[in-house]
Amino acid sequence: MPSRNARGSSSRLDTGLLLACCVLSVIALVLPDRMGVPFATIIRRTVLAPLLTVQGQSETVRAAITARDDDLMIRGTAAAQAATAPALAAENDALRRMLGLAGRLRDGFVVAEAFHPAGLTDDFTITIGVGSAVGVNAFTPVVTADGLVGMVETSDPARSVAITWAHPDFGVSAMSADESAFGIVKPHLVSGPERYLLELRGVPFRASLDSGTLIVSSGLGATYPRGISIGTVISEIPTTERWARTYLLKPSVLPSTLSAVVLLLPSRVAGGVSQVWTDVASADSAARAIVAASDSAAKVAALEELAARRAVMRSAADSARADSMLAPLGPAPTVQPPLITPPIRVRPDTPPPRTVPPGVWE
Amino acid sequence: MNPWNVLRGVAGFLVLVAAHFSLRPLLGGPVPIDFLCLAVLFAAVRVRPGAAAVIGFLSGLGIDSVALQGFGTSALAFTIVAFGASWLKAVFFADNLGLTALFVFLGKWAFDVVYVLISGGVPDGQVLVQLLLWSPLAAALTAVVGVALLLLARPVFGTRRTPPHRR
Repeated sequence: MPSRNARGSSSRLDTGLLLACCVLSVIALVLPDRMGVPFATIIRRTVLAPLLTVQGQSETVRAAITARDDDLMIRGTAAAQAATAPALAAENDALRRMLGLAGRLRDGFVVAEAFHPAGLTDDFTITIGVGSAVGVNAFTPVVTADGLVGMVETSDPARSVAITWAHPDFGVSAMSADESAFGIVKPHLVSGPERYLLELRGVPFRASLDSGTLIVSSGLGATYPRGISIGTVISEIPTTERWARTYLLKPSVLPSTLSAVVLLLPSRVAGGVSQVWTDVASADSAARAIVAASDSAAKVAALEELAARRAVMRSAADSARADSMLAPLGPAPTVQPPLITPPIRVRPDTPPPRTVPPGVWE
Repeated sequence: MNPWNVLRGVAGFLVLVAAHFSLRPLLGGPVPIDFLCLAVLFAAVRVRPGAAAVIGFLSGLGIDSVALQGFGTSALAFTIVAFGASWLKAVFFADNLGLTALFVFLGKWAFDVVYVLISGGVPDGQVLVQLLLWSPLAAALTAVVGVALLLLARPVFGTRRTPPHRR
């Protein structure tokens, strides 16, 4: 056991070392930079040199790991942007062509956003963000710059539901663009991918149509005005009918790609839309004129209006989806009932209140 | 003192110093692990308070030489912490895991308190946040690492003394 003197001596030594270290630390603290920096430099370049080298390498590795994370994030962002770019380009193109159509129609129409309310209805109906408040009622034709989409089935003040040409109830009296053949266009009710084609039925046997012939609405009926592009002939379908031909049509519009549509108001239907779809050259020139217009304020305003309207309708669609999610829990007042009740029900082009030229397309 | 114990202590100290300059930059994060504080504390409990003060002073001086300003701050803080740790080693028996964790936590926190108060490098509005939030978090993480090290390599970092050889 150490003696009391030895312990006291050790204690004094410890205290002395502590005081010495503290004093040296304080001196280092109060030293001016021009005197302290050389000491620090000597320590860094001698004792700490290998350790600082290792530290630098570790920081390099750390930076590489972080940079890889950033690189992966940038790659992901670029991939996401690349994935959305074609869709944006297609939408931009559709809007430009819609502006061209609006220029050709001049008046009597309403431009609206179309969307597909998943879960509420089927693939053959679309919801349109305008309704009876702007004059859109049942049997209002729905078109795009490419041609006929369908017609409004039901109309609320701020929203409408339209059937597309693929709906089993769809039908439009049609003719070839050169008016050499007339018939009724109906959906091609088969299974498989051909379900999204059309049929031109009841064409007189003497009228033969070549592949690629443009088929437009004939205006024989009060729903669709004359001259709306419906589709082009693909081939003739063999049938048992000996007195008439049936042709398979490629539709002008694919409803699944719709974003904005034009609804033709009664005044426009009565006034006709001749040469709007059939005169392709004028359509292209009109579109180019709008795109290349030096005063783009109107175009920007129209696009902004469409964007704002789309935002409103997206929120409406979201609320509708929320309602549809609640539907299994009980009847929700805002949910539309299914629109296709009788699957096979032929609706003639002409609505009941109007007069149909007798015995032409029945 | 047994030379084998001295060798183990020096090895443990060097390993932790090396980890401070290699592993700590690699881990990164807002709450760094202070391996140098662990090294000083584990070394301090093996030696007398005076030697612990010298170890702390030299370690702090090395850290200060890397810093851009406040030369001497870490030296003073480590001197005080190391001396205190060595003086309290009879209380905090380092082979007990719970006490070791508390020992490291308090040592690291005390170092941060002394460093922040002396250096004045932290803005006034953030001193309390630094001392009451970030410093305890860093101290806790350092204590966890200290306990893990003690579990993994008790012969190197433990302080259980070998029984004296009888002649």
